[in-house]
Amino acid sequence: MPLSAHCIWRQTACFVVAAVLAISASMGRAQSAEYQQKAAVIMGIVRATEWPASKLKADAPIVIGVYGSEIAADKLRESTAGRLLRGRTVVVKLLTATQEIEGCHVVFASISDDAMTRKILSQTKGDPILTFGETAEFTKKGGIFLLQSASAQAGALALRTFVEGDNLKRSKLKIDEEALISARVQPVPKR
Amino acid sequence: MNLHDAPIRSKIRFVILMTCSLALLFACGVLFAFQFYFFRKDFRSDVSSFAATLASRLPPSIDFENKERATEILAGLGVKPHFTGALVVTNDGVEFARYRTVNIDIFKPIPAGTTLREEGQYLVSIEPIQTRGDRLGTLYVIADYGTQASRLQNLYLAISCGVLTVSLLVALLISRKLATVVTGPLEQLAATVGEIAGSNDYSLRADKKSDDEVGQFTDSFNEMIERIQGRDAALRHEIAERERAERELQSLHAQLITASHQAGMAEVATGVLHNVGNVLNSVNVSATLVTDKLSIHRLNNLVRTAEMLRDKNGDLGEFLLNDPKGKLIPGYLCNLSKHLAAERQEALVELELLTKNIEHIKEIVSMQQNYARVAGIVENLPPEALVEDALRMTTGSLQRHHIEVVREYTCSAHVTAERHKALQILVNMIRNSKHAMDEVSPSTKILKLRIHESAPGFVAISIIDNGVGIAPDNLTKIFSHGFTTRKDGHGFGLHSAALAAQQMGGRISVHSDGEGLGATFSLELPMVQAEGAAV
Repeated sequence: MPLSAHCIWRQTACFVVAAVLAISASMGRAQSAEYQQKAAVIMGIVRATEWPASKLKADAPIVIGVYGSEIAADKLRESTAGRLLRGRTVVVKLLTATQEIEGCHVVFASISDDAMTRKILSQTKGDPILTFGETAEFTKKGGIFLLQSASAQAGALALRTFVEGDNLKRSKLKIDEEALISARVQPVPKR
Repeated sequence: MNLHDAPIRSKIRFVILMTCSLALLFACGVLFAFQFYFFRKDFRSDVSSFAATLASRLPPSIDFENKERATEILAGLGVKPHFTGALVVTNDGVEFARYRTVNIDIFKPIPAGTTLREEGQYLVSIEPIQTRGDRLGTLYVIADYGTQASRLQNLYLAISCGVLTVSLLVALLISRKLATVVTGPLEQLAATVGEIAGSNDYSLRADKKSDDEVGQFTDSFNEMIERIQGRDAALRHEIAERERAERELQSLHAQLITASHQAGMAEVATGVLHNVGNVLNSVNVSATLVTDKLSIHRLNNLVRTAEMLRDKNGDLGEFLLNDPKGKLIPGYLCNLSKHLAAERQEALVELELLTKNIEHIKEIVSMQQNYARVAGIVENLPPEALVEDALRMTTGSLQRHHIEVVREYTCSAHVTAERHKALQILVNMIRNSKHAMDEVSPSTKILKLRIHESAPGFVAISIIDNGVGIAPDNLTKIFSHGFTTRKDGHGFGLHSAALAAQQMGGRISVHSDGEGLGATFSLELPMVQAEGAAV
């Protein structure tokens, strides 16, 4: 029996929807894996970082603020669930306002908005807060670490980590150099 | 060579070397033990600290799952050759990184809290990999302890041997030089002692080199030698004196022997003379009697009668018949002839007695001449003949002293003896017995002469009297030279007799039950066994 135009349309629509859904799901999985990698790197560097006592009180939890990506926050929560970092509990908070940055020890800006990036970094400036970003502007504006997903090879994600040494120095944070080496952290390329 | 007999220089060197050796061995042993102890301790500490250092660097590698970095970190073990391998294992037991080969079972269960484990020659350091209290895995570092210890042991042994050898050589060289300080004076002292001992020259003195004990010893030795020298001189003088006295004694002894011989001869001569004197008394009596008989006036009367007859030669008949004196002449002549016949008979008797006595004198002199002639000649003699001759030579004296002689001859074997000496001894003993009996004058003086076999091969002639006897104390010295109990004795008669008996291979013995109980003197002479051979 020949298909009617309506039927064909409906089938095409269904196919498109299915394709969209499939593509969306695929993108979601890829994004999830990427943030999982980034969460691991963040957790590794946090473990190797020493905060001034004035910033991180005794028995105080390490507070990680995630700005922009709820997935990233979720992955960080998964990574720290039931674990202690440096003998402390880890609290992951999804930030909604820059005012919340003050109580954080780590800030992950999972955004591409330069204006917001500047706003966040202006908030952390002069404060020993370990900052992670995803755009090249992040380190230029005062951020310390840049997490960039490189092009995938053979379906695998490759995460590259850059550090802006001057910004790290200014932050008064001490990071175990071995951790930076192990994390294959590279200096931010000068352009 | 025995160490005790070794020279003192060798002993000192041996003591020094032994002391040094033992001290060095002890020191080396202690040092070795300490070094080994500290090496072991340091080695374990080194392995632990190295492993801890590595473990402290490994967490980020595990955190970031950077195995290459972990391997790079483990490669740092290469700076120490004794690290033979290392392994990083994550908490879930998965090998994360490795350095070289790991040829031991690192997963062998170990007590909790153990950080070092020995596996044969290997030492395994087990170090947790953790950061800020979070344990990420375990680092196993394996070090070859045995090889290192063996190398160290060989090194220490070589050093010890070297040090010991060099030290002993140095000690030997030094002891050769320094030992002279100790042994030099001693060796010189020993040389002086040897020289003195070899030459008996007590004028030598040891040279004192120092004021230490050896010096004091040298002084004492010199003083001792000086005293010895004095004593030696005194001793030499005394020996010379003794030798002189000995010579004098020998001379005196010879003189005494000669005197004894002479005395013996005198005794024999006295006996002979006494016997001859006794006989001469009889001769004298007989001669006197004959003289008296011949000197009586009868011959004068006969001469007057003959002269009277010569004067009446012309009318002899008338005279004999008518003259009163002439008538008495025939009777007178008849009586005269009877008297002369009787006197002749008496004279004949006396002359016969005189002849006998002269024969006796001849016999005595002849016997003495026989003894004198055979002096010094050993003969086989019948002992009873000797005894009888001795008795004959003393019979007058024995008779005069009313001594009864009893003979007990139970042995007829001949003896070997010098006749003269044996007779002299027997006469001497008989005369002694006579004197002994004279001193107490028993009711009956009995002199027993016994000949018997005293011991195998010996014949004893015993002279037994019941005289004064001999005190026990005197029995042991009665044959000593100069000993006598008689006032007129000279004390060498028995001594000489004993010597003479010894010269003949015999001996003289004496026995007495005590004073007043008589005495027995025995002359034992070798018996002639067979074919005239003396024992």
